[in-house]
Amino acid sequence: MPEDAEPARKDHGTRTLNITVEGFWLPQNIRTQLLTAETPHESLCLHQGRPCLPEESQGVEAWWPQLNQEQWGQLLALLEENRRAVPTGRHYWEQLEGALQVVSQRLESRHEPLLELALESIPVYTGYSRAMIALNLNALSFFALESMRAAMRQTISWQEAKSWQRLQDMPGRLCFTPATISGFLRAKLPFGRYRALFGKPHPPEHVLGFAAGNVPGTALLITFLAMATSQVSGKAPMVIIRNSRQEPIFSSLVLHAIEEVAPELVASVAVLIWDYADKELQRKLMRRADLVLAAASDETIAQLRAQTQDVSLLRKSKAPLVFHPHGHKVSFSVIGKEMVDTSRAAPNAPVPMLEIVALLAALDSVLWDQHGCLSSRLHFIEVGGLPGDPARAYADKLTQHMRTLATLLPRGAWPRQHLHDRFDRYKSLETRGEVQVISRYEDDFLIVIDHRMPNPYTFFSSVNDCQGRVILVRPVESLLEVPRCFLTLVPKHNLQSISVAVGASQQGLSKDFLRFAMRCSRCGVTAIRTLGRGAFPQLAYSWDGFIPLDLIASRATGHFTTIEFDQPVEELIQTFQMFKAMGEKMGLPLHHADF
Amino acid sequence: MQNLAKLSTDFNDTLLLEEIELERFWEMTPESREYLIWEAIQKTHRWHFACNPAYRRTVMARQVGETIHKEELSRLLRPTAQTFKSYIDLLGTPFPHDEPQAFLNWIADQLSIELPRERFTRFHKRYASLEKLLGEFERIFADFSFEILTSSGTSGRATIMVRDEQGIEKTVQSFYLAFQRYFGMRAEHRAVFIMPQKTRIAMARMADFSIRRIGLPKERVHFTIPFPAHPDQVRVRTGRTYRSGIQGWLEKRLLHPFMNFANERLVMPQAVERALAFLKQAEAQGEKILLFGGWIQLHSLALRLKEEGRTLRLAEGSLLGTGGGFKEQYPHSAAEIRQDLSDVIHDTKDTPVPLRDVYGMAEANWAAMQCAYGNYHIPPWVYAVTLDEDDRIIPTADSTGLLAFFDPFGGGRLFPAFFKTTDRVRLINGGNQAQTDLNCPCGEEGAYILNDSIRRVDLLEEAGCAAQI
Repeated sequence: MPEDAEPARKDHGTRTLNITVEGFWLPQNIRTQLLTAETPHESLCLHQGRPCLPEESQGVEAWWPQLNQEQWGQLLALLEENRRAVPTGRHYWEQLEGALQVVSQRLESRHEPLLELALESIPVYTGYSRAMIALNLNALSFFALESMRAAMRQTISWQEAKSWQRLQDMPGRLCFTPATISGFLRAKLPFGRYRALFGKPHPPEHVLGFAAGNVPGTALLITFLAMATSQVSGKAPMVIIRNSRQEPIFSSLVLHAIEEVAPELVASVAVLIWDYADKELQRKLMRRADLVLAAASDETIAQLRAQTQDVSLLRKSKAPLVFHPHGHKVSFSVIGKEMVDTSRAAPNAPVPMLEIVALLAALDSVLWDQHGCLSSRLHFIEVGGLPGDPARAYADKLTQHMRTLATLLPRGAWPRQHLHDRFDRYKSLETRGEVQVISRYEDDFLIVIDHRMPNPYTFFSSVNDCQGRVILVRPVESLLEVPRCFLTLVPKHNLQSISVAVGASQQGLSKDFLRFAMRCSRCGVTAIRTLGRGAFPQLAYSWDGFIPLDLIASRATGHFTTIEFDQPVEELIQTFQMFKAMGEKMGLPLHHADF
Repeated sequence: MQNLAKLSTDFNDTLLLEEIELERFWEMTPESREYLIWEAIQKTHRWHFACNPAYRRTVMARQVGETIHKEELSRLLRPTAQTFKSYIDLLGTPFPHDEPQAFLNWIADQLSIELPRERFTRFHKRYASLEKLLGEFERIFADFSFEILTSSGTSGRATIMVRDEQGIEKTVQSFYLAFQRYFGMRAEHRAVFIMPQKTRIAMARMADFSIRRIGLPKERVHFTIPFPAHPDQVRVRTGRTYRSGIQGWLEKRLLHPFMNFANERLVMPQAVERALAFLKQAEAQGEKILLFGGWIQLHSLALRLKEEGRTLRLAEGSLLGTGGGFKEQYPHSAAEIRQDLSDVIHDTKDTPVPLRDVYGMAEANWAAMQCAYGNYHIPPWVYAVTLDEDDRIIPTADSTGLLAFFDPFGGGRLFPAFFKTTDRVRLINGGNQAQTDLNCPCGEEGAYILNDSIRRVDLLEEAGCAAQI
């Protein structure tokens, strides 16, 4: 790390040490020209995710410069100049993968200053537990970045609007759901295969990003997506991201680390914090931008959309300003009946499949304490035709794993009041015999089996309750019941992904599963991945209905849905092995979590 | 009826609560008060544990049995935001009049007395409105002297509370003692309420009863809103919960805008004018006044007087009262409203007439009255504490957390009045704490909520990017 990125430690007499970290990122050559000791800055001190005074507690203080108009002009000019140094074509992504491997190794080595700094600052600043942050820092291998090259080379036709199509040179399938009547009509026309869905590529020159919330890494995700367009462009884009005040540390650390390996890869990227309300600055940046990527609340998205529309007419470039909104979302897990059979052993593993499935499903809800849009809320479990009480067997197993995970990956610094109130609420519903609370009042999570007939009121309140490690297990007769009776109740723009555990070993994707997946996609689901991978967004696949090609070309209105695997059972086993290996490395006994 | 009388005797015998006059608590030492309250909490718990299915289920799930220990106190607290709204989850609808039988079963489950379930058959299959269902309930169980009260229902989903004669008596006693003690109210006032008389909203009903209990004759108590405010009307006016289908469409598109228009342009101006007329009449006759209304209504009155360029001079001892906080967005703060009122409503010595806020809730049979120093005094028979974020009682004399209370003496026999509220407050000398140097400067001892420290808490704060739908 560069010297000036080292944490400044303040000793407040007998108090615990406070840490001050940078909550921004600028390429080294720009920061030396732009920032001086006199540059005004803003800072925020948080302890357990809540504001505190720097001098009164063990908080972490993040700071970022406040640039004036002149400095903004200078920054834009310097970034523009740096664009020339950034590699393009396939070299860009190859070099990035190489650099990330080095960073990943650093993050996995104990006593590595980068890891220590991350673990000292991010948990205190965000409120997530140290183990949670450590696990996620170790999980970079879950992001299959190598698929990104193939993702940019896909040929997508109107055939995708009719049925699932295999992705080229990468696992999985893709389908497109038009959002307009004309789109549906075009999809019905013959020879869809020969009609391209995307227009001519027009890679962006300037990308503006907005990242919100306290789940680490959103700004980094936007950076990678924006820079991925370098692969198909003669010149890398300039990327400016407005980061979240609630978590500005992680992306900054990783970008610093990449810069140490290959500075040219991030030479045209700036991650800063400014006020959305600074209309003049917003207008200035939007007028330059070709692409705006925003991961924020629905209210902020609405404001940004209005701002992009306002500046559209005033823009220098003739190309339209493209806006990719990523608002707040909900995700679910779906488990097929073949996975609930307690006698069924996992292929090449000495444990029943149910053990693995319940652990992975627990992880999908435990990671980020269900505060992420990818966190699984309800677990739908297919029980039709099975003897006994499979939902109860699953819920018991899930409870066991949740209890173990509550120790290994403790819940963040969130009030238990929420859990207790939900516990009381569902306990009071037990009287009608349709609801069963499985966990205990003392548990740092809540597991409930919910047999109630779905109606919008009960379903919405259930979904909203499932945050902070609250899981409702919903038995369904068949998988198709999930989209037909439940997903249709959720507004399309709020649906994100489903994590699934279905199928049999070496059987691939069955027709029934593809039919189910198509129904889900028509309801608004944009990504289908296997259990355990719910919390790890795959850049090469659909994110809120946009695929990487959306970054460089326009198409009909609608959303893409991707299935991110070909062999579900094998991927489940692989995910389990990856977690197991990661747990062993970190000293977290995930590998014998209640087995 | 015989059973009912026996039940009431059983309750009082078991708890020996009738023997203690509430006003005696002001004279007790902190030690005797704590001893008595702890004894009463144990007895109340034991009685309701045996008789109240919903309460028993809740505390048993929290590993609490019939006998309790002091460290388990916080586990007896049920959330106000849920307990008397749980019918919505259970019925799967916020409209109980669609499912009267399920609603009746829910009520029976919530009460510590046995409802004669054979009478459930007398109810219709559906009712046209919630008011009709609640009215029918009171009629069919008239021998129990039930009164059904609701919260102000800002979410459109009302808290529904049952009180019987004894509960109402306890509440009235509690309110009037507080009115007397903290507001210095006597029978010589004329009381003007800028609120409807025909309403189930608990605070309005209790204030009315309590003022009368003080001894004010009916002709000296005035309600300036002539129209009723039934729960269905309140729901539509708040505009957050509508029926489904055509009825819902009509409610949303026609009734809601019309009601708001009528309220803003006709009802409220008229109510303020009537209140003003009473004030002017009291000014002319030198009568003491208690004017009680919401912040916004009181502000309208102040602005109206400012328009007239008039300053009222009421008899000394007059008082302005408010309660309920701000139920809707309003561009002026409480401090601005106070200032505007103090500019135009004075007493005969030309001193601004004091404005006192009342803190209470539908689930509580008590209210905390604001003293001259702005602090809210909790009656001494109520054991008030704050809870930390993990629902543990904060054991300090100056604490900030969610307000919770145990009211074994004033809570009545229908359900245990042990509740956790949704208000974050700074509480001084709550629970068993009695630090004299922290006593309120007004001279009152005991627990109080510090001025300007009450905040409504949304228990689920937005942390990440997960949606609420």
